[in-house]
Amino acid sequence: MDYKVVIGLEVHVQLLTNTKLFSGCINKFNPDNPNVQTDPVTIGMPGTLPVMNRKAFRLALETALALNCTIARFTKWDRKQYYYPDLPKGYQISQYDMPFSEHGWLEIAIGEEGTEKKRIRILRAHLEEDAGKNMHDETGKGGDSHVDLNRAGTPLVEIVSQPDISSPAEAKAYLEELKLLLSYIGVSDCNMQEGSLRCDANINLHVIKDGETIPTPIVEVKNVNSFRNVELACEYEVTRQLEVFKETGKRLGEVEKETRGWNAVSGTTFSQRGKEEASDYRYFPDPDLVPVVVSDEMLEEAKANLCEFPAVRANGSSRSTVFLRMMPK
Amino acid sequence: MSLVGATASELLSLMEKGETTAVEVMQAHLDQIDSTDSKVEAYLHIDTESALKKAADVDARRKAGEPVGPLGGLPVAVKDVLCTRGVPTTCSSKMLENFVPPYDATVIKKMNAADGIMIGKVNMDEFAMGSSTENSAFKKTRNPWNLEHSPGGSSGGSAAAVAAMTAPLSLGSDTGGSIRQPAHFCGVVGMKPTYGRVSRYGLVAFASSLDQVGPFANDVHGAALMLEAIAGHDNLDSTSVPKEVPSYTVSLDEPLKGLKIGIVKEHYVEGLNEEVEAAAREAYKVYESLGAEIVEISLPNSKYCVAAYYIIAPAEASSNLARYDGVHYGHRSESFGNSMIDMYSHSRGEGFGTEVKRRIMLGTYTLSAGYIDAYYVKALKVRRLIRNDFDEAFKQVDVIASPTSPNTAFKIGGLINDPLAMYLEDIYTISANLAGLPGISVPAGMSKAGLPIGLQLIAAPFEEEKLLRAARMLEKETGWTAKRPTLS
Repeated sequence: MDYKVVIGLEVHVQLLTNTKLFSGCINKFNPDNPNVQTDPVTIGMPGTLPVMNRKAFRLALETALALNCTIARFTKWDRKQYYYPDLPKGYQISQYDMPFSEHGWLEIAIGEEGTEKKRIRILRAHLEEDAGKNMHDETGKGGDSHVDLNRAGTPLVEIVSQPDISSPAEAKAYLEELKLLLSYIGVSDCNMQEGSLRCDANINLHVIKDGETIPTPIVEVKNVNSFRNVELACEYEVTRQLEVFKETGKRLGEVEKETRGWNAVSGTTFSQRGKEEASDYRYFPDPDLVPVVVSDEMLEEAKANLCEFPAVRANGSSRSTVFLRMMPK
Repeated sequence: MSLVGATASELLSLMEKGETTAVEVMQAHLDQIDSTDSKVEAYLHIDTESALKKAADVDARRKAGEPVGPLGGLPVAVKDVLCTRGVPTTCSSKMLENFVPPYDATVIKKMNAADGIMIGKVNMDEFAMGSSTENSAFKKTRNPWNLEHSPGGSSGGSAAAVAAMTAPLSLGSDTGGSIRQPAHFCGVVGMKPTYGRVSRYGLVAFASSLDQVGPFANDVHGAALMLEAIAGHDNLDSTSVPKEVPSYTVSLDEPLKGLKIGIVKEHYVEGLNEEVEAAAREAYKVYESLGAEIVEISLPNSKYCVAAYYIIAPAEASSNLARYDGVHYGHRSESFGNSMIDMYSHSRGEGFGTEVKRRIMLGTYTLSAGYIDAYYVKALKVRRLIRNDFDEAFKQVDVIASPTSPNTAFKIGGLINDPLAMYLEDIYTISANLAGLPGISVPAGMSKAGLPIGLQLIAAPFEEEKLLRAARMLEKETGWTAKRPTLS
């Protein structure tokens, strides 16, 4: 049976700022000492208010520019509301209908030799605050769960690609390219083990049957912890989805979107929850924050920072073209 | 003269002349709490030791000729919605019964820096939702003019504390009239500043786009003094406005020449109590006698105020109150049920009172997918129209005068089972919050039954100075602010 693989990646990248997105609280990876990287704003204490960290916004601008995105001159903050113990306010400050950037692309190397270039389009990149982390007793003895809010409030850029990725290998190449680029320009260290880069993959197949292209139901694979595992999880899904299609013939729209986790030990994905339980996030503009108007100065400053990488201009890699394009004439 | 019931400026003058001390002033007000608060029930928390210690510190500095702040050791009662470091801040809710903030709200910091001394934390409607202070989880505050009547709300404790002469000044918060309506009920001055004039940092949020902290006082000068101390831009509040704070007290006694007062024709309709209307009309005559011109104006969209407000405020509240889930903040139910969701719903079900639940449900509904456009988004458009009405009106007039609320203080229990009637108590005050305008309620009369009547004045954004001077003109001419209840 002939088929095409369709993958879109949703990548969350933590920005390397000294302080958090909406407070002066120190931003640091500190897994051994829970709940010390906090302040009243970070833990959502009653009465506290967010104030945007301008450095974080500038790093986000640099990220979006490096990804060839169009920068919105007016952007705002929205509350994404859901209940979860790692979310102290009961909502995440994010961006809903007016992201600060959209319509970009990232060029990756493909083909046997790696000499061919392919552009993966980027739908949007927006800035939001990270949640904390829940830690559960894994002994199976039903011990208490704990919440660590060190990570809460860390600036996070969510980069959503178009479904332009056509193989598990391309997915890996996209992530590698993204990491190279973003760590090179210094906005993030993109460390998957420490969670400063996290990836969810949306994947399905376009099966060609009797001259008709039939899309299979989209599956979201969540929180895979390495580039190699993203590739393996996608490979596993390709095989699995093809089997399921042969068995059931179900196409996109006929079943609810499924979220699956990745078990790296067994090398398999497993069903987590159906999207029928998906929350209504009740997004609305955060009345505690003012909209951001991106001035020429802010844009120029972000561009100028990106241009301070002479080594990149010198080599002929795909990345260099990004920077050359943005060099002031 | 008696120290309790004296105005802020009288007390400051006595202290400056060495005729009394901040400790004596504080002790007199603490004694007044002792002798009256069992009846009025305004206070939730009194920190005698700390208040007297701070007063002694002010006295020592004053004696040594060192600088003393403009509030010079005056006692201030603080609504229990403002975070106070090391002092319980309950919002009159079972949810926050044990909440002791590790930080001070910006207005508290500013009050401390100005040498205002917190005498205690006072009662309110739970999370500032209500117009009677009956929604408190802890006690029912009574109107010092008649103990069977409500002091209004939600800042009922702040208004009653000043009326009962337990503090010359207090702080409240106003989201839809929560300062002005209780000021009217209790015969004191209460002011809601322009949105953004005063920092909201440390004010436990009800509806973020409407909330504003403001002063109560037993005369207009006290309100000006207190506002001057707490106003100004704050780096911790993105919605506070970087605009210089004028010295409201300096210009206060200068009457406004050529003052044009707008009277809204849509205001005088069914539901407005005769005595309240008569007092307002009497006040307009007083202004005319002082040379002001009365101009009839129209606010055509004012009829939508209550409807728009009861969509926007609950929507924001449903979000702001999500954090009281028993995990990080708030009451945690003993009963976990079978899941995390059960834990949340049991905790919230047990911790919140009826009115708060009603508004959370309303707000959750109006923000839900499929309804948000018809309710929330529409209400925001109406809000814009209401603001446009005012912008037009202020091209013609300096201030807009009206009754503060359609009735005098109702009896405790009188409206508590009729939420809609309770919401209509805010009909004249809500528009200032929706449009972000400053408003003041100043005593303007007394009903035959001996209950106070206030007059509301509203001005264009950041025209607090004009508002206070206009209020001062009425006070000077009528003397209504000098009335004190007998508390018998």
